[in-house]
Amino acid sequence: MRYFSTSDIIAISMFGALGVIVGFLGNILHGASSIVPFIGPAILHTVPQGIVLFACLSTIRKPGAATLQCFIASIVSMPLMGAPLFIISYLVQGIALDSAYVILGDRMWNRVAISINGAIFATIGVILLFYVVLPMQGLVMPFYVVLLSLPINIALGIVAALIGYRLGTRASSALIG
Amino acid sequence: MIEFSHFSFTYRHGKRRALDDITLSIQDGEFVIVAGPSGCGKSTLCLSFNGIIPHMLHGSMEGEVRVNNRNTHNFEVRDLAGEVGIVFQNPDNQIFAMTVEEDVAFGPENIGMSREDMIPKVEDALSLAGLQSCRKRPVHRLSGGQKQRTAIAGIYALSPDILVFDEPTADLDPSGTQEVFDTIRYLHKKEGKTIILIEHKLKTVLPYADRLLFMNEGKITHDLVPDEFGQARSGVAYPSRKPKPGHSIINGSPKPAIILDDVHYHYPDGTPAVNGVSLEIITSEFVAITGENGSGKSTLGMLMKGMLKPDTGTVKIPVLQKDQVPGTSTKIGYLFQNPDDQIVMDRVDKEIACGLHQNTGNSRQVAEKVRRVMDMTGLPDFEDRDPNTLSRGERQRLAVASIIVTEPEILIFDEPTTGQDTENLARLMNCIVNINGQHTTMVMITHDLDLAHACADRIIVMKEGRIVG
Amino acid sequence: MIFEYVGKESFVHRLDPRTKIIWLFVVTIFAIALRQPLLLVLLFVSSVIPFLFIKVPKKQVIALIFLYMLITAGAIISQALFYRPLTGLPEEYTWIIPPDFPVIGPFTGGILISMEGAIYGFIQAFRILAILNASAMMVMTTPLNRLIVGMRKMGIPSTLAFMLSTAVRFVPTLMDEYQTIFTAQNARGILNKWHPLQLIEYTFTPLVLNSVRRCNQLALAAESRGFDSGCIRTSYVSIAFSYRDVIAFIVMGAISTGLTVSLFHYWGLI
Repeated sequence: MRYFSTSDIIAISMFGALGVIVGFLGNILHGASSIVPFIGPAILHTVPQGIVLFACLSTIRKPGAATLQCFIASIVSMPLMGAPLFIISYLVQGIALDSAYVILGDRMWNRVAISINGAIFATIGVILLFYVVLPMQGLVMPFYVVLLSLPINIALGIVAALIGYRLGTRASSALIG
Repeated sequence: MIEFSHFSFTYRHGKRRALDDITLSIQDGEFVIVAGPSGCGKSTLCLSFNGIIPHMLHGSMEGEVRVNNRNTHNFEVRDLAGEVGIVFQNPDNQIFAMTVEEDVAFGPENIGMSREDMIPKVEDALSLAGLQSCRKRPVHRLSGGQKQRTAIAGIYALSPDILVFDEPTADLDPSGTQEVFDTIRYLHKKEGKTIILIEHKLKTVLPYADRLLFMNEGKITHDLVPDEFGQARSGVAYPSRKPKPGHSIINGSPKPAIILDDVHYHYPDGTPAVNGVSLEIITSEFVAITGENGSGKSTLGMLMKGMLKPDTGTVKIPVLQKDQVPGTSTKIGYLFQNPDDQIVMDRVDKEIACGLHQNTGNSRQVAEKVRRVMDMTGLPDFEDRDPNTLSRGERQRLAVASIIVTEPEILIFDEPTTGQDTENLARLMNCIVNINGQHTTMVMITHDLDLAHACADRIIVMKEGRIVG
Repeated sequence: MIFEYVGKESFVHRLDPRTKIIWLFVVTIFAIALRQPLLLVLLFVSSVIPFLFIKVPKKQVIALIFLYMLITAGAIISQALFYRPLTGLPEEYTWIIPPDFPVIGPFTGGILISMEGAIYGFIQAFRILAILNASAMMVMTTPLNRLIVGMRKMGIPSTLAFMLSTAVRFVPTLMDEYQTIFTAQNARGILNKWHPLQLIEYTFTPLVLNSVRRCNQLALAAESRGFDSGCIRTSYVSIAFSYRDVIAFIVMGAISTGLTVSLFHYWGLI
């Protein structure tokens, strides 16, 4: 565990807390987002959590930070959103992002790579929502709903990732250790 | 016992030595106060006592520091936690747990102390700091003074003999400050701890000390014993008020800038804040509103700005046009306590120009305004600097700049003294007095009476939502 | 907020946090695995029982019921529109957009609305509602610090537990700070609701930068108090099982066995 310095550990916890705050609104309205299937999940989950997640990874710049942030944010959000189902979804997104970082290494830190990662982040979010989280609740959605949800999610995912990247880059110079 | 032998330190990206050939010896049980202008190295000195320098903040080091005969170079910060404890300026950034007693236990938990051993230590620490009655309270509901006492208790729980305090009262109001000073005094007198305190509120603490060190540019310039304390300059030298050339005689009768008529306000959760305040502030007047925490002065400020609407009574700002919403209007500027809550851009000039958002002129006009404002607030040639690289005092002035660039008629300052040291405060007040000289009405909310007396034309004292003086 | 800790004393309050975590786990697994409507309703009912012991304030009960109705409505409407049984089409339905409608028809295969789907949706809602019950029960009767200690005893590394409790500690503080930032920026007149992304940037930027600055100071304070990420931390808060947990486990065991037997029966194994 010395892989992360003390300031890294505290920073990841802080980003976890930020993830809880920004996800606050989105999680409470998850129930309603079943009625607004296309845009609901996108705006409420993808953008806020995306910004915080990408900011976290861009600040700490060590693989593993994303997964930890997702874990912390999703568990601490439980009192707000109620169900533990989202923990899985967030964790997969975090692991995917960390894996991308491991594969890409330093080539991650440019706008193109971040945009691609943002798109992947959003796509995984949509797929997991419709093919894992909702089916666990017994709800079935036809394929075309998933298809139509993708473009706006991906677009917003890319925007969120870029915003997070810019924030994180500025923040990383402020972090000691 | 602490010994510095020819100790010098330069921060990694620093241009000059932060500490320059310090040789110093502090005996057990001494109460030492360290003072000096900002940037003199007193914080750096503090951080050298427990090894933060050089282990956590990197740079080049010469000489050595020995604490109880251990060279800090050879021990990690966490190993020295049982010998030296540090309390920092910002109370929130030292508390990790959710309740008071759990945070006091943070230190013992870290070193793997068993629960049986921990409990008496936590008890002692809580009673030392007078916190037994709020032991289960969530930390975000504590006052500044209580939070800082929690931090002190947390350090005490590890039983260090040496306690270092780096401006512990800078962010606190007078009652919080006194609570902290009382606790420190107790630690010295009754427990015999070695105390090293960095403070600029010298007037109050000087009587407690055994020794006073002055620093400048990394060196210790004076090492005084109590008989010699008279030489010490105590208190803050605020710029004296310049007499204003007949400001109230423009155009005959004085024009009111803010009129409050029997205003009442209470918060959504029911707490009453303002109970029937009627007030008239004249254009270009400089009014200070003082009072204890909870007296309603901040709420009054927000009511004046229009961020809150009074339950009954009216707030009239003649200068505003009928359709302008006061809450977001740039005619009234409102400066919050923490400049970092406002700064967004990565360049100083962009940050200032950001405030001009609504009133766009062409870019040359904008640049002109920005430059003028930068001169007024004492930030020359800072155009392309990243605000992150500025000192706290400079960021405060940057926040002021980004508000006055829209040329507001009225300016309200909420506790501008928080977290500021002596010189930066003086610079800030100079700048504020300048602005007032340009016929801007100023309202300053502060708990610092000296400041109020030095700068204001009129002082209003509030208590429990009413004006009492 | 709906799922907020209710500071009273009750049988459920005195249960060890681990018991409640395990119950949540059990309910979640059954909520996903059970197929028969009757069993789902039974699961839901058994997850409501603990609530009889907790005296939840009226406001929270109303908010909870409102949330449940919202979720159920969502399930009913979405499945009324989208449910298709394995045989292809529901028994009775009405086309909203028939398959031969230009463009949308062939793309979607037609959008219909059926009562069968609505009923199906209603039943399925019980799954998430049961999980929410178990989760709400856990969160309303256990302060978060005890929950984290419970997780610690169930195997989470101590440094991770520290990260969780630090995050929890800062949530209210950061919430307040966000409010202050929002108010300060609004007072400057630079927040424009027609430019939402810019608004997000102007409010998130100071929040993120301030938070990272906090981390520096926190790191110095943590190490000065002996923090070591490589070492195992002990805990001031303690939890212990009691006879109540034994009772709870027996009840859980009975319910689980009953449901499992019914499930196997349904699968044709018994």
